[in-house]
Amino acid sequence: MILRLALLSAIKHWRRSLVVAGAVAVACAVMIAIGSLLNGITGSFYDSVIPNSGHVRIEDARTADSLNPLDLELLLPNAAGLVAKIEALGDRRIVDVEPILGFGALLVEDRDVTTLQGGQDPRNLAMRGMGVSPDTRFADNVRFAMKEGSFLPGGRGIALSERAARLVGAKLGTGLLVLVQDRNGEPWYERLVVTGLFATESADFDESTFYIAEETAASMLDAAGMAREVRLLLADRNDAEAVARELAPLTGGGGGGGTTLRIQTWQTINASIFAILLFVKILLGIIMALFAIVSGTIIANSSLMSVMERIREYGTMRAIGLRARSLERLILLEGLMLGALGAALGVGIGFIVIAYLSRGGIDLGGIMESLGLSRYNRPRGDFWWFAFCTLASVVVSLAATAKAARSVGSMGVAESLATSS
Amino acid sequence: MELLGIAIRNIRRNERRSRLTIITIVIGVAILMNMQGIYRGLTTTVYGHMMAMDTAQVQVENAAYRADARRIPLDKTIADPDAVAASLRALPGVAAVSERVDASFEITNGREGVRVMARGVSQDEARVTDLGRSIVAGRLFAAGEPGLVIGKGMATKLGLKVGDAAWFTALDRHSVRNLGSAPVVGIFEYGFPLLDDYMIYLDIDQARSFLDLGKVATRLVVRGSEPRASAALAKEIGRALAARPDLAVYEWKTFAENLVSTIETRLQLLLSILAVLFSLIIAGIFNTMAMNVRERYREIGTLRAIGIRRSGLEAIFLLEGLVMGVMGCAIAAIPATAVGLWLGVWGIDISGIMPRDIPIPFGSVLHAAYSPVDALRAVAAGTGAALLGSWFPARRAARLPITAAIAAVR
Repeated sequence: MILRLALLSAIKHWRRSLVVAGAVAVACAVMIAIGSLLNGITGSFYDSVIPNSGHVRIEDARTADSLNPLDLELLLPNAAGLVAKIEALGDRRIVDVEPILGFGALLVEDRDVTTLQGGQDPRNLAMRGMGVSPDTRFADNVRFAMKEGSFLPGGRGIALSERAARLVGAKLGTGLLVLVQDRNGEPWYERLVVTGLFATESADFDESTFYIAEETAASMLDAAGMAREVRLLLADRNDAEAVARELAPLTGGGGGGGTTLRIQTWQTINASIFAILLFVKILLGIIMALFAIVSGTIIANSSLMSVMERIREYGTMRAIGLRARSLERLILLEGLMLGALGAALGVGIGFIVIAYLSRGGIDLGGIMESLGLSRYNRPRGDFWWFAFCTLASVVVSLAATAKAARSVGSMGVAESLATSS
Repeated sequence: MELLGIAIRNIRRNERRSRLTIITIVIGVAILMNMQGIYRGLTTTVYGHMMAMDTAQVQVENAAYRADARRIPLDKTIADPDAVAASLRALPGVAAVSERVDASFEITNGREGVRVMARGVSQDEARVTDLGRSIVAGRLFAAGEPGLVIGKGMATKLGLKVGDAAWFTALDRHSVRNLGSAPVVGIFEYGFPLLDDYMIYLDIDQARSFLDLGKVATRLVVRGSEPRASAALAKEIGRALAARPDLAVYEWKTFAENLVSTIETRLQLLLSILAVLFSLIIAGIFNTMAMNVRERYREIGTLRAIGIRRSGLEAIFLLEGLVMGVMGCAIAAIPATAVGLWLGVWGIDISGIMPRDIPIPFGSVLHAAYSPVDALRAVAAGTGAALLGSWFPARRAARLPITAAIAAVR
C-alpha cells in the first residue's frame, strides 16, 4: 500500500517529481560521461600502449640516466641468449618474449642527384628505427594502422608512416636510404624498399618511428645477437611484478659483457602516464563530487518542499492509523522511486552522450601524443561504472530525502494537522 | 524598496528552502570564480614560459618551411633576413627581432653523444627570449664568437663545464656531415627538461658557416611591446609582409600546438561541465521559485486586489531570486577568496606531482591569477542563474487572474 501511495504522490506532484528525477538524471549522466571519458583514456592506455611497450622490459640499467637512450653503448650484448633462457622457463604466464633493437637513423631521399633541380639536395629526416621480428607482437598499433602495403612482408623492406614518407619524398615501392652509425662509430647505409605505409593516431609517433627487420638492423649496426631491450608480453598484466621478480636471477649475469640489467614492469615504464592519470582522476573526482552535492541539494530542497506542503495530509494519514515509521518509509520510497527513475534516465542520456562522443572521439590535445596516447579519446562505457552511477544516484536521492522524512516523522499528529501550509 | 522588503521577508520565511537554494548558487559561483583564476594562472604561466623560453610572440618563416618542419629543413630559409628584420623593427608594437638558424646536431663530450636541437642566434636573442637571464654559469657568446651555450641537464649528463670543449656533428645544407668543436661558454637553466636537456645555442654566423648556409635564416623571431597582443602583432606583421608571398607569419601558438591544443580542449571540456552545472542550478532555483509561487497564490491574489500591478508582482519574485543570487555570490566570495589567496599567493607545488618529462612548462609552482573581471563574471553568472530560474515563475505569478488566485485552494 505504501508503494502505491508513494507512486500516487509522485504522479500527483509530477512537476516536482520531474525536477527531482531531472536533477538525478543530469548528475548521473555527467558521472557516467566523465567516468567513461576516463575509462576511455585508461582503456586505450591498457589496450594499446602497454601491450606495445611490453608488460615487462629488460634493458641496460644505464638507459634511465642516459641523455641518449638510443646510444649503441647501451645495447644488451647477449639479448638472444637472454631470450632463449626466458623461453626455456616455459612459463605459461609469458605469452611472448622478443628482442627489440631500437636505434637512431637518418632516412635520406633516394634520388639520383642528376634528377634534382638546381641547388636542391636530397631530403633527410632523423628518426628512431625499430628492428623487430616481422611477426612482432609489439607493433600492433602500426600493424592495425597500415594504409598501403604490409608490415615487413617476409622481413623485407621498411615500414614507415605516410607523414614520414612525404617528408622524405618516398612512396610504397620506392627506395629509401637508411643511414646509421654502427657500434664501431663507422657510418653505414642500406637502401631499403618501402614495403608498408602506416598512419596511427599519433603524429608524434608517426614522424619519429620506422620499422625494419631485426636481422637487417643488427647487420647494419654490427650488433648480431644484441638488442636495445627484451620485451615480454604476459597473459595477465597483473603478473608483471611476480614475473619480474622471477626473472631477476636470470639477469644476474647481466646481458653479457658485464652489463648491469634493469627489469621494469609496465607500471614503472609508464610512471609518468600514471602520475598524469592520477591527477586527471582526482580532478574529475572533484567535479563528480560537486555535481553530487549540487544535485543532492536540489533533491533535498524539492523533497523538503514537497513534504512541507503536505504536512496536513500526512497528519490525516497519521490520524487514521499510519505509523510514523511507515510515513517515513512512504517519503523515502518516493525519493527512491524518483532516484531510480532519474538514474534510469541518466543512464540513457549517458549512453547517448557516450555513443555520440565515441563516433569521432574527443580531441584531448597534442600532449596526449607526446605521452604515447591517442589525442582522440573515445569514451568507453563500462557495466560496473554504469551500475555504480545508478546506485550512487539512488543513494544521493535517498540521503537527500531522508532529512525531510525524518522531520515529518518526528512531528506529532496534532502538530501536523494544526500546521498551516 | 517596499518590494525588496517583501522579497527579503519571504526568503526569511522559508529559511530552510532558501538556504538550500543559496548553497547551490554558492557552489556554482565559487567554482566559477576559482576556475577562471586557475585557468588564467595556468595559461599565463605556461604560455608565458613558452614565449619567454622558446617561441617569443610571432615568427616569420619561409612559406614552405612549416610543411616540412619536422625534418628541420635547411633548404627552406629566408633569403634576406637582415632586410626583413629591419622592416619588422620599424613596425609599431615590435620591441625586438632576432634571426635564428635551427638545425639538428649531435653533441658529444668525446665519450658519449646526444642528438640535440641547435639554435644559431643573433645577439638580439636575449631581447626576444629569456636566454640571457637564464644563464646560470658563464655568459652568452659575443657576436661571431665560436662558443656554445648548453642546458644544465645536458651539461650534467655529459659532464661538461664552462670552458670545456664540446664536439658536434651535423648534416649541412648539402647533406654532408661536418664535424666541429667549440668551448662551452655558458650554461642555461630554464627548469624545462625538453630545453635544458636537448637544446644548444651558438652564434648565428658560426651556425651559418658550419652548415654552409650563407647569409640566410630559418626564422625571424619577434617580441612585441605588449605581451598579450601576439595575435594582433601577427596580423600587423602579416599585413606588412603581404607583398612577400615567399614568407609566412605565425603567432607563437603554431609552435606550441600540442601544448595549446591540450590546454584549450581541457578548457572547452571544463566549460561544458560548468554549463551543465549551472543548468542544474537554474533548474533548482526554478523549482524553488515555482513552488514559491504556487504556495502563495492567495497572497498573490490579495496583493493584486489591493492594487499591486503585474509588473510589481513580477518584480517581487524576481527580486527574491536576485536577493538569493546576491547572497549566494556574497557567501561564495568567502571560500573563493580563501582558495584564491592560497592559490594566488602560495600556489600549488607541482614539482613533486608532475612527471619531470611531461612536455608542459608548468614551472615548479602553479599559481592562480585572478582578475576583477573573474569575480564580476562569476557574480553575473550566479545572479543571472537566480534571475533566470525565477523569471518564468515570476511571469506566471504576474499573469494569474486576481479571482483565480484568491480562490486557489492548495
